[in-house]
Amino acid sequence: MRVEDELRRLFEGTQGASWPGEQQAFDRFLRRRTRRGRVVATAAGLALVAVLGAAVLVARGQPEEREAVAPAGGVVRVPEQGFELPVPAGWRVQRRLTGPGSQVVGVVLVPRSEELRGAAVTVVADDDQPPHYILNLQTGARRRADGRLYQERPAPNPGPGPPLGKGAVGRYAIAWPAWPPSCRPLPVPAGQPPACARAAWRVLLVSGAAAPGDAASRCWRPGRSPGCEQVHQVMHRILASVRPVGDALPPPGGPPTRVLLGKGGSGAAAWEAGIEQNIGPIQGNNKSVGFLVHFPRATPTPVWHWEQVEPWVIRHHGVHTQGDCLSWRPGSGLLLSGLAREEVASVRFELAGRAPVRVATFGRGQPVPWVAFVSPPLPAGAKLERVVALDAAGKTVGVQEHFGEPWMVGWSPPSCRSRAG
Amino acid sequence: MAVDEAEFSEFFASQYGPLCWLGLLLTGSRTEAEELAQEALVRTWWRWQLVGRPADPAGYARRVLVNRRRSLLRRTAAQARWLARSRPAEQEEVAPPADHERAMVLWQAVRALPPRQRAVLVLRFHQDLTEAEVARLLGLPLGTVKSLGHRALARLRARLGSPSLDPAGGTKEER
Repeated sequence: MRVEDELRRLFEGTQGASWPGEQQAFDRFLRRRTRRGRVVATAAGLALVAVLGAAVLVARGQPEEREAVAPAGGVVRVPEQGFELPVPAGWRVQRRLTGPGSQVVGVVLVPRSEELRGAAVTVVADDDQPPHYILNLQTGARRRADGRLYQERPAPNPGPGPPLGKGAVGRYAIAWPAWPPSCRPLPVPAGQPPACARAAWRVLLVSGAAAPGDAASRCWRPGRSPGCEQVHQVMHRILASVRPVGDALPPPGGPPTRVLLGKGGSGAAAWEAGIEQNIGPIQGNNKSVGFLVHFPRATPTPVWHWEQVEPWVIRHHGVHTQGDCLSWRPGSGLLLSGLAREEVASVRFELAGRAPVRVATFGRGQPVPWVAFVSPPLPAGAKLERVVALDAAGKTVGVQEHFGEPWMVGWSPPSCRSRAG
Repeated sequence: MAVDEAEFSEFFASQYGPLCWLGLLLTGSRTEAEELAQEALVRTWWRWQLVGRPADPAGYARRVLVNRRRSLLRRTAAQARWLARSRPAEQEEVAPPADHERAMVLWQAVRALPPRQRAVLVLRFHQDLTEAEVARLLGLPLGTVKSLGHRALARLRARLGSPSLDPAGGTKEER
């Protein structure tokens, strides 16, 4: 069969298939729609306020001149957003931006020369970037000398962040993670290393605007005016020289990446289970948290099985299970493992045509909101039907019946074939 | 322009599942798929409310979803690696895989494709769009779409034709 036909057949499996949780989806939609309505109304209100504010400022002249700040030693620091930069020769800090909340905090630099009067370069750290925007930095991204990814976003489409306005030269976006990089959702007891489900995203935006006289020259195009070119060079100089300070500095030795929840098994089936952050390409700001089972005595080489943790799935089912076929063991065997909500004291594996197997959870009190479980090696051919999560009183708190991809339910429940020993 | 709520809730019921599936095929993540579907439906509702009922609401919602996805297209290399998962025991099987196993292998191979290649295949073979329509939807030149599709199919052929799909030699599995 041609691969095109196989693809069509594969995708046909989704036609008419129901989607788990469809029932609650409409409620979520209504809540989201209401929120969006509030946001739209608020944005419209803010826009009106901004227009009125701008009108007042224009009427008062140019307030920026009165707010000028002279940096000490030619270096301007913005510790609250973890950066500092040497002020480029021929330029000065015109003002600091404090922005609403912690977003868009930074500095505005302007040229000293009258020739470029009206030009400006703004350096802000916008920490309200959704994760996918950070990931988008990889598209055509380049690396600074210190390994941080950056991307040039030429005007007129500079991407997220404050609008550039007339005479826009373009924008650099630099991945500027906070350290430790992803510690918002997971409670971490004092003295324990952080373990997190989501990254704290932050992007440094270096944006340039040319002097009004250059505004008509389409500053983002080749052949732009010398004024535009000068602004672009300053942006590039800042891109290369802006330095991390405070919480943007990676801690010595790098952040902790692993929380061991427990060890067990014996011989070839010995295992270690824990939570591990997967190291991504954006120097620590791209870390997915995963459940890791490590088989140090697997042959010919140790085996790691890492699966991304989706907290939503664990909340929903109470338990999330993965399976490993211990192919390096004589006769193979199925080992089931996973994470459950903290209140889960034991997990019962219900197997087709066999007695159920119940194991206690472990790893409680560690700096993650879950506990782990690992089954003993089950005989090859054992087929998992359900995983039931039980609390300390033996009450069911969750059931997982679907394994693997949703439309493959029933196709491939975790099981292993027997191998000759 | 008020939305007929009964009509919209019917529309929602008929489209939520298909949009989630499309999102899942494009992203490989159930959470992201639901997020995309919800966002697409909220935007469709607002379009309906502010401008009026789109001529083809389902098509409109799909376009919103794909356009949203365009900004999400780049996934991390780490995520791509964990999508290309495999199981040691399965790769050592000598018997030809059964149908469902082959489908799983194919799905794993699709998920391991670079995002733009995967998007082109999903839109071509799941949504049955022409290459020109895919190009318009993804905002790419037609030639790019053709070459992405060609490369994606070649990759799938190579992976399906090989005895092992394990990208890491079976020593490290990532999902």
